Amino acid sequence: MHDYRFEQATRCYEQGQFLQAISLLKELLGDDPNNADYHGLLAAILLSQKRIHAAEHEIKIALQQDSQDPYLLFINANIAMLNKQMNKALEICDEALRIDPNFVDALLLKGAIFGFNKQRPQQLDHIEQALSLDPDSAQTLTALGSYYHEIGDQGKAEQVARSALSVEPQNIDANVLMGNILLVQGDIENATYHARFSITQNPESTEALRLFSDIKARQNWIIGGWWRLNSKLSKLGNLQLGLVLIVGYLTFNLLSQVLEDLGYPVASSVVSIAWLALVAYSWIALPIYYKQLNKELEKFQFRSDY
Amino acid sequence: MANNHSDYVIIDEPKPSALSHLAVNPLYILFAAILVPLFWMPPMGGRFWLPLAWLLFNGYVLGSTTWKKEWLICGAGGIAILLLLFVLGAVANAFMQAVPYVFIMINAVLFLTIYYAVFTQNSSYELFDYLRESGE
Repeated sequence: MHDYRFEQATRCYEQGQFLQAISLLKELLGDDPNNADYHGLLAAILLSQKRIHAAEHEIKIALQQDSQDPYLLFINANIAMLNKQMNKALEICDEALRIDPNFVDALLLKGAIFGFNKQRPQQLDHIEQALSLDPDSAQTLTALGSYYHEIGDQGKAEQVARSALSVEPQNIDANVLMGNILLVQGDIENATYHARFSITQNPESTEALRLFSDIKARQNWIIGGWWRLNSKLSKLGNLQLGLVLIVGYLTFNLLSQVLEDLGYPVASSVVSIAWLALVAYSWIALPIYYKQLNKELEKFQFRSDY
Repeated sequence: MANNHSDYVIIDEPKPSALSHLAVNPLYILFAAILVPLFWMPPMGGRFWLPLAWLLFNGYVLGSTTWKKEWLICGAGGIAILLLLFVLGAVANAFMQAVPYVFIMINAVLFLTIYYAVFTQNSSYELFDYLRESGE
């Protein structure tokens, strides 16, 4: 039987109140440091916050206490996926499904992994298996909608997303999916509605914030242009990002120096000025963009219990 | 049972020192490293070692969980810069035309070191800032 605080922490997690949930779990773990469920829930929250290394540490402890819990295995598979260890993630999902063949979340995660690897038939197959087990779930419908969105069939994606929203209008994933579909279709106004709704329901939802940022970037090409490039660069690791930036630095500066040595001082100056302009743009654009975003976010009315 | 929840620490949470009020966003250190030398050249080759020293100090005061990695990065970068400065000295005597190119390489190594250390420290700083704003 769980401490009532664990139920409270679970509720806080489900409502996106991560700080409160973590605070309660710290209390619980102080009293019972070997409890697998507490470590498991903490791992799930840390995963939502994208604190992968810490989530990995917590789930390891949880699995040492209970290696046969399908939910703990599911979280471990999520972590492996975020660490880009796709084969390992699939193996862990399979282990969870061996223990509980009707574990819908594990089927959906396998679908997501196949989707990441662009193995579309396998992705659809697992989503359909999940749908056969839980046909009226907003979560499974959202997964199907995401599939159609990823393969470019926005019409079908929208149809499925609307079904998901009719089942559970406040489902954040479904709202974010709908927002992304509408954004691709150019319907900025309605995409914004879904983004705003998602953020007011859960201000810590990174997917909702990303959708909102993408919408704002579309509306302002000059400032938003750097945000879109930055979004792509942020997928690189720290060292890879540094190398990309240094290659840019070396390209411009070596070219400028070579032009000067060859007797083209004007061309050399043009290249140097272009580099400085690019650096200045990259430094100025992002803070201005974040300031504009924050100004918009301040106008939001978050749900009362947040 | 006594409630000792304050004993449980999540491993990626920074452990700020008593000087944590001196911690700054590591991106400011990056900007300073690039902008300050445009207006003022720090003495004793400070433009090469001051940003690295400041990054390490910043990591210490905010209790960065990646402090050892930051030390390795700054150490490796510092050694690479020193080696290139020796090369610069040798080249300056033999091939004057190559001096600007060696200087560009030194700057590239310096910026790469600073970028990598800053981005590594940034995740600890963001958590430090998030927890500080939440009152933890």
